[in-house]
Amino acid sequence: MRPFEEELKVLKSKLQDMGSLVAHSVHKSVQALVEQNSDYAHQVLRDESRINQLEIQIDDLATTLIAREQPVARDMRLVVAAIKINGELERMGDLAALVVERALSLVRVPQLKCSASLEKIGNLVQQMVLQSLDAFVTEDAEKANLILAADNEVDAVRNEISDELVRSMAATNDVDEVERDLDILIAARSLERIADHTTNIAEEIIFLVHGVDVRHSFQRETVPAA
Amino acid sequence: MASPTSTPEATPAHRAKMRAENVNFFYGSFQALHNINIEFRENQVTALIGPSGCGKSTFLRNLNRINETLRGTRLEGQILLDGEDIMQEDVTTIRRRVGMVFQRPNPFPKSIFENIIYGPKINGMVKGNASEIVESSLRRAALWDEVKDKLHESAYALSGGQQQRLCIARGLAVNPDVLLLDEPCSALDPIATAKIEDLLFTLKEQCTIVIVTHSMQQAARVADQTGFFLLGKLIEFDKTDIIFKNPAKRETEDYITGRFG
Repeated sequence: MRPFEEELKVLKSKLQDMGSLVAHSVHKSVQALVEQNSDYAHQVLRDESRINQLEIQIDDLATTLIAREQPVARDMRLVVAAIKINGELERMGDLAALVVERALSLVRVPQLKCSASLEKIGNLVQQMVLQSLDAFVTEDAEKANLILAADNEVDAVRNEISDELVRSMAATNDVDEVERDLDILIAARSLERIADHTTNIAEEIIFLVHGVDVRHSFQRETVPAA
Repeated sequence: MASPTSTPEATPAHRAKMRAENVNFFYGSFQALHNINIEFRENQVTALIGPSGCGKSTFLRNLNRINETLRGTRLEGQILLDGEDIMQEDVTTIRRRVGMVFQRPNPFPKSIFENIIYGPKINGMVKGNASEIVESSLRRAALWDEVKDKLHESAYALSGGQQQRLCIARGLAVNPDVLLLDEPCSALDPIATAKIEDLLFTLKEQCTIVIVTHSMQQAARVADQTGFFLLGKLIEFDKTDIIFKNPAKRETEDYITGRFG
């Protein structure tokens, strides 16, 4: 195998490492929130710097490949997609940290509001993160398309949560309660943003596989059927 | 077999200047080109790429009938220049209208001035305006400023890159419609190569350019359209962006990503 192909493999495998780490952080952030567990929360905060380090390593590897190999066609698309997916994953890591920051303030709340919905959105988001990683590893555009479709469900649950919390905030004069409601709202919003980033990853996978840019719904109809 | 994509999405501003239709070419009994269909747009650069022996230079040499100087060769199909079959035209006229620059600079063993004016002279284009023709040709080849004070010195005194631009100027002196370049930069350093590539961007305003190159990066940099040849066949022909970002054919992808073999 040529050194270039080896390096492309290394790039892909580093991105998988990063993806696994982010998936783990997202998983722990959901647990920290719904199980009100501070140990999980601290784990996520510790892992954030590892994710940041990997982001820098991956960008460095990708820019070196561009400078030295001037990749074209699918190789070029892989390197470009890797750089973008790298950024998406790092942002997902940040959002997981944001979830656990809110989770830490909610740890001692006796009865967590919206707990069933939080668990539901948490599960959906984790599933999307894992699916996006799987679609990337297998370079499968069909799997990527399923992620795009799943995002609507996450948005719906997020809307349920915010409706309930807005009603609750409107009905109370208790500042502490409003603060807790806002913490839950921010956590739910962060989880929903993580799902949005998985859809961006899915779009990059479609670009990698088919060479078609489907962002913002452009050219979606030009994606070859399975 | 159906011929490969021969017309990238039409650009109305650039009509087809030259067109090959069902071209087969033989060296004796060996068939070097198989059913080539391609068109070259006016004021555009088209690059032909492919591994050694794939037929791209053979094809290029058919475009101004240089191949017919070789014994035992045979061309089937048609090559049209402005819709007229070049085989039915006067060969000298075709060679004036379709100029060629080769891999190694090949100036005549004469002065710079004489190198340029030779073509216009034999084509009866010089009517007391020799100096003007020489200056404008050298300017068009971006060589004038470097040689204007030594026009009557030997062309051999120039560097390799300058000699190649002199050969381009010599080709331009007879106002060709099409300029064929057969690996024009393969003997040049990166600076001389960059000068030739810059030149192509301005020259395409004046004529249609077809370049055979082994450098895929060069094709990606200079060409509007790119054709990929393999084993005497035109495998894929499309806009250069598409060829290098998302080629349709597996063979093209394997070649440009270096997995060919």
